[in-house]
Amino acid sequence: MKVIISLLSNAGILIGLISMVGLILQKKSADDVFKGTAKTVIGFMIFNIGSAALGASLGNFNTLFQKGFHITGVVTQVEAATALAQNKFGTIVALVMIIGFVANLLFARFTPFKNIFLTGQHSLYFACVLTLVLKACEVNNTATIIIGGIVLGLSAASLPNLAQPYMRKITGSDDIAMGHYNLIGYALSGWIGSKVGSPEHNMENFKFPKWLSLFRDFLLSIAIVMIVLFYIAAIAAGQEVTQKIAGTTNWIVFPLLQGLQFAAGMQVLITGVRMFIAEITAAFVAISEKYIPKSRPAVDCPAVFPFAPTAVILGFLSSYAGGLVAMLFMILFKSSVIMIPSASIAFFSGGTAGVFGNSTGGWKGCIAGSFVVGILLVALPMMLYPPFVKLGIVGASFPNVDYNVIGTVLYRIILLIKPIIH
Amino acid sequence: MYNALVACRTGMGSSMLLKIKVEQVIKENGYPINVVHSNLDDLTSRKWDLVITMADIIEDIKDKVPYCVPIRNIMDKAEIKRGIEGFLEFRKNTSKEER
Repeated sequence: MKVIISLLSNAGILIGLISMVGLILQKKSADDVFKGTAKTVIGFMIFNIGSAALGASLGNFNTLFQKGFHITGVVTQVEAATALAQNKFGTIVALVMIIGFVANLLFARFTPFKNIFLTGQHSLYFACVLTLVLKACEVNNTATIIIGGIVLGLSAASLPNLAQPYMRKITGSDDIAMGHYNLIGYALSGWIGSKVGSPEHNMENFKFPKWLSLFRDFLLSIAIVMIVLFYIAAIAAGQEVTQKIAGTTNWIVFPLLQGLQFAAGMQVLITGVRMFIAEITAAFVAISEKYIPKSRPAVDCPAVFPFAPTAVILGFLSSYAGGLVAMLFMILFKSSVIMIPSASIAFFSGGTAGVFGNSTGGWKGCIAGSFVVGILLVALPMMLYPPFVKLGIVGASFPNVDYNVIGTVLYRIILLIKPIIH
Repeated sequence: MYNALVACRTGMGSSMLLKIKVEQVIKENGYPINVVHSNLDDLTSRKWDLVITMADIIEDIKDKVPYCVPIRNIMDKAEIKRGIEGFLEFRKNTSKEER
């Protein structure tokens, strides 16, 4: 019995078991089942290694920033925040995610919300946010897993509907939904687009310099931005402080290495996530296609990029500008916490917001919609950051719009009803 | 057997689904193609016969690989099938020329 409990309290083994069930349900051969299960567990372990590496590098950045500016600089990088949550609540997060998958299938089967949310990494990140929200309200583990899982499944099945009118405009069909948790933001961007312009304002005349395509490379954009941020923090903190943290490394070289180290940790984390969600996603697709009539796959945001590639770049630039403006306001109002916009989030989330704005308002809609979403990506995390700090999640936050809107609503509701129950 | 890379920028969500759909199409039609899923960093790590990815990425990579299949709608099996058949046709013609 002790052996079984010890085995099952390992999040990787749990996730592996789920993927094994998925593989068996798909009637895969025995060696495929074994291979898929083992790879899922190993993937989860790689994810943990990446989380630890990313957490260490982030810790150095936070120390330098704090010493240099006497305020907290928070990286709005979802993977970094996930790493911190994973190091603290790994098993609960995994269970919330698993219940979330099952709840999504049930909601899609028995309610009018027919979306199957296939972006596995977003299910993971959202599971982290929900776990942290519930833990911040001091909800016990069992209730956290059940409430978190149900909210996750309901969000997965229903939220994509918000953006669907615009998805039909963008893709020209109703076959796919947007599976990326900025759906409130994307719908807002589409709506703003319809107010400020028209689809005839097309952007064929926009030409962007070639070096901007650097930011299409996920890893490189993170490395570049983090190196710059590390240098800013290190120079502000000064030679003495930086040298102390750098140890035997020269203090001028240290920020460069740390920026690259951050990107390396990120790549390890992502490789792990890719490995452990692969089999589960495949099972998810197979089960929904077979047992849930009229279900609609909600897919990751780059799925709409081919329909308006120029809007992606314009949306990226505009949303990053929006993020910088939001950060500037935090500095002007002397906030004790500064949210730093992330280039990779601006590319994927801001770029997608640009595609939505463009679908209703051409280039004007693209710029306006993604600018507003860019502000939200940096401003909204302020709402949940204080409760998360109490749990020890310091220096990184979850930028995505839906995480913060749904998370804050849930946080307020639980705080409200908790005294009544007790 | 041909080696195909299915990839996107991060190798996460969108190419994951594309890979699942590509494998469905290959299995249904019995194409002689082996699929590997990764991100664009693996573009040059080994020799690929074809790369299947989203249409907007093609500009950046088309010079680096022998054959690209651009996909606009990653869940559209008919589009994927057309793309792969285009590749098989291309291979048939080039091998004739070599003879």
